[in-house]
Amino acid sequence: MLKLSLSPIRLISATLVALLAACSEPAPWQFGFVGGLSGRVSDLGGPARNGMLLAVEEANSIGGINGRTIQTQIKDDKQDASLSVIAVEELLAANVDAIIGPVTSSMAIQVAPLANAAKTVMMGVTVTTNELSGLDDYFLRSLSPTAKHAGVTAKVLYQDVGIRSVAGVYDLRNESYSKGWINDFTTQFEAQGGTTTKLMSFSSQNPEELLAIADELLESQPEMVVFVTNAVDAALLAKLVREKNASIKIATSEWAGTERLIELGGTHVEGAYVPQYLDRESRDLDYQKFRSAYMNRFNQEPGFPGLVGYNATNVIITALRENPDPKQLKHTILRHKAYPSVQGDLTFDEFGDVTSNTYVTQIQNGTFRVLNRK
Amino acid sequence: MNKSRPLVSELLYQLMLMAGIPIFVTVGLFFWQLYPQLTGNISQEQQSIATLAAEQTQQRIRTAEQQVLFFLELARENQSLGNKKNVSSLLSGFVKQNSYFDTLYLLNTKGVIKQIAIRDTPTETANKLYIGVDTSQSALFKSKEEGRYERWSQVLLSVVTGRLSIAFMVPYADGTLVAELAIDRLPQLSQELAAQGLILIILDKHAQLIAHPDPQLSQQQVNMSTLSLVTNNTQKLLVSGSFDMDGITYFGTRVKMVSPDWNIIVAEEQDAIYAPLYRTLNLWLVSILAIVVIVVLSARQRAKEFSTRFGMLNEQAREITHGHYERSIDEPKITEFKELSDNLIVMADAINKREQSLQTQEQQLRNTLESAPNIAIQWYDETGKVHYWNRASEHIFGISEQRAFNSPLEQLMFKGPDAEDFKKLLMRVTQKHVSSEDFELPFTHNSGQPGYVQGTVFSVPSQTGKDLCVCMMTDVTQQRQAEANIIKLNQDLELRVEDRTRILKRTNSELSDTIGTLNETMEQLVHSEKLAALGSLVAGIAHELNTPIGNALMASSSLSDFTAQIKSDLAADSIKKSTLENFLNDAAAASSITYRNLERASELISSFKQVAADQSSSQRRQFKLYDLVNEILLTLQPQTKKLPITINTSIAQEIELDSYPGPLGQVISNLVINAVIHGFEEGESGVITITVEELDHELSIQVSDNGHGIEEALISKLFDPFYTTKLGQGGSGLGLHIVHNITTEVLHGTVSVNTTLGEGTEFTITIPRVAP
Repeated sequence: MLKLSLSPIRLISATLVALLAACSEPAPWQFGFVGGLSGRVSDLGGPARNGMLLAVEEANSIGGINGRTIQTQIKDDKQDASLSVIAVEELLAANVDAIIGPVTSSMAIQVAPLANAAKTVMMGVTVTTNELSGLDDYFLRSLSPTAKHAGVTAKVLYQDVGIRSVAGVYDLRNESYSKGWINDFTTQFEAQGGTTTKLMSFSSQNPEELLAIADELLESQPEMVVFVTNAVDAALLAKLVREKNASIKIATSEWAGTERLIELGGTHVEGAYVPQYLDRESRDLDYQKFRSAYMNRFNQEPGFPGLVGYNATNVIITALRENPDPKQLKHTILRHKAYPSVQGDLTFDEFGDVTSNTYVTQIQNGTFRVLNRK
Repeated sequence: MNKSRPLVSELLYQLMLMAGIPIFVTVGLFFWQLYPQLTGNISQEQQSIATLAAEQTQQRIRTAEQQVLFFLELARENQSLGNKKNVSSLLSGFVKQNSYFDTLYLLNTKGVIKQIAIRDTPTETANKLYIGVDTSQSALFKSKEEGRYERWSQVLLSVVTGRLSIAFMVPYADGTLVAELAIDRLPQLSQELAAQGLILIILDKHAQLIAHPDPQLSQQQVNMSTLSLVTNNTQKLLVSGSFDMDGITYFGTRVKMVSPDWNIIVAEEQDAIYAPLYRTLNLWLVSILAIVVIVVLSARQRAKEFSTRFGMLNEQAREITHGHYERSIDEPKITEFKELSDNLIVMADAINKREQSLQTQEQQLRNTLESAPNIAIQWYDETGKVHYWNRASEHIFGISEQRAFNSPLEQLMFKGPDAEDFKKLLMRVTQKHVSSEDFELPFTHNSGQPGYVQGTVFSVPSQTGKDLCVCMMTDVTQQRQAEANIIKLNQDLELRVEDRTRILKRTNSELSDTIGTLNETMEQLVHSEKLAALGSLVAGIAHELNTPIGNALMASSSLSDFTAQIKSDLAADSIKKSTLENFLNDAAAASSITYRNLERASELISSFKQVAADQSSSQRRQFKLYDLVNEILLTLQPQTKKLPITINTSIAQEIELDSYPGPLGQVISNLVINAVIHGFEEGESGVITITVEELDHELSIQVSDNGHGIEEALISKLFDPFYTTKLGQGGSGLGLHIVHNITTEVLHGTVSVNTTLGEGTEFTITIPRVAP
């Protein structure tokens, strides 16, 4: 009888226990992102992050991965190597399941060893440096290395456009990419029979430097100047060289091939040759769907960083759906090999590298027009 | 059965219940009233902060705008913007002096920068780098065409500084004056508020993040268009609600600014908001637990005290039971307990008085029992020992009270097995507390005289607590002797009845033999009746054939005479043409008569053949009723022809039956003959009519006459065998019996009669068209 009279206490405790139990849901997946989100390189990092967010939001809207939603942790490395290392260390300390990023090669060179040590998959976004090719590591990426893009660009410019001499300039702040790219480009260009009249480098922290660079490039009297820089610097350089020589031909690397180049360059970048990782004029339905979803969500063009960020994130999501063990993620991705993505399947080799297309475009009336579509 | 429970736990339970109800009511009130009120307060507080922040932001923007407009006013007054050199220094001056804008430039109509000043950059450098930059493709320049001039751009990357900026644009001369404000200046306000535990977020028209307490985030062009606070109620100026950001749930309020078209969100981590609430709730739960414990303990203490009090009162009650009627305990101090104690004493007095009155009543009862002269009353316990023995018992059994008390049951009035039975009866009654049924037992009087008693036994509670058996008996010896005499008489009577029965059985068997013989005789008679019918049939045939065959014979013998005559004439050669012609005419006529009559005879024979076959075989076949009736009437002609009786039929020719034509023919024939014989006096003329009525699956055949009818008294016997009114006049008494038998058993139909004295009789048989 005495026991029965204690039941209100039991009731209260049972209710509390039930309430606590109801609150616990399966822990969400943690995706880390690292990339330059502010300053002059934010035209890569911003859309890349947005592409990742779009993929994550799409996955979450259908219940996440195997019933667990995805949370993101986003870090801005400001295109600064030390910040990049700190950011990745923080993400690894937070036990993220995978890292998407970084977006430039020089950052990737710095942080790839950290991912290897932690055995956490790091899916580079617009990282194409040759220095990370052919390594059996935890750094994977969804684009071909620089050599391929630079080679295709050199070939198109020499054979199709008929350029015979170039002068180039590259940005030291992303040396891993830019130096590799200009070297691959000039090697291929010269191999075809072209000549390099001048090769320069600069640090983009001080725009004043660009005045002198423009003058020096023109002094070597090339048919074409090639900028391996970000879009802001490329636009400014284009303006500076065109003011001196209105008929000089201009080319850039893929790095500058964002919407910003046209926005900032205006008439000065008309006619410039810009290789791209994506076919901007693709009528492919998947691409159209992706582009409209992205524009609805972020009110801007995705550009190639947005697309690559989206594809890279979807590779991770697809792999985790197949095998939810994050420790096995790398093996799952490499075993699975082919992943459907916007603008064609991505096929990983045993080193986690893929072969992707290069679309060489020309800016005509403020838009990128593809010259070498197959 | 309900188990009683101790006072302690009952009281404890009740008190817990009383404490529990207010607790639950309070919980309910908290969640229904207090909780929404608290969240309401929080959202109100946030709304006022958000509104304030919006006002402050708006104020800053206004001030910035004012500075630009003021600068323009100044420039216009001086007409200096036309002069390049002046312009340059004026712009540099403005950039240096104002506190908001870092970059100021003039665009021409095509969007090309014509003049520029950048904070902390030498004029010459700025000019070299940026004059001539084409902004025509930029969102800034494009937005200029969207409508309202003198407006703020959305957040964009500055062509000049490479930083995220917003720009204020004012038309000037042919072009546009653009003043760029780096948005990393705005987060200051956010940071001030962040110190208070609140976060302040500013979003542009496209939900692009402009300001956030984390200044780095402000620079990252984060788009927050999916934030539920932004997507819901976009047109409302003030919205509050929870939303998720970076995996954290916030409660926030959004204020919509008008110019520029921005949103300001003030939010706080939901956990932080509810922390004090949860602390209160925890404290409150702990207090409730404490209250519950205190209630349990104090209830226990109180219940124990009550329990002790009741124990003492119990003790008092026990004392009263043992006859101690004075108060045996201290006078209780609680009124109710004192009243209970007093009442116990009053109750004891009442019990005492009632006991005395009971004793008086018992004495009266005993006297009554003693004085009953014919009813022996005894009390026994369950062992059979006598506890009471009245005077009538002494008289009936001849055993004194003294002896009855001291003797075992076996030595009293019942002997041997009767004594055992009686003892068992006593035990059963005491154990089951029931009354026995009436019993009767033989007994032996003390004098040795046998007798019978009838009695009943029932149990009553005794003072010792065990039940006693009361036994009441009357002497039925005389009744039993009278009964024995009656039984003897009865036995004699039974023997006599058996004798009579035996004689009756024999007579019965003789009677059934007779009936068997009679039945056999009847069957023979029926058979002979059939034969008689056949006989009359044969007579009919003979009679009918007589005429045509006679005619044919006559004609053929005449022909023969004619032939002999003509033959002799031919031999005498005296034949004349006229004679030959006459002969030929006569011969033709004679052969025609012969032929017609023989044909008629042939028809008759074939129809008689059919009738005979039917009547002798009773075979089933398909036949036409019309034909059958005509054939039957034909066979009846010998009997009816000479009488002045007309037989009419009204039968459709096409009526067909699948039945037994022989039996049906006999039925019709019997009915017609019956009408002829019984319907009319001899020589009396009359009409017999046969009609047929078609029903669905049956036929109704009426045979009626207009004779003198049948007396009502006779109708019931009409179909009985051997019943006849013409006994000795040729009636066998079987005709209608046969009609009934055949109709019901062979044809599976019914027969009925309708008659009116003096008017006629109508028999109706109804039979199925297809016999079953």
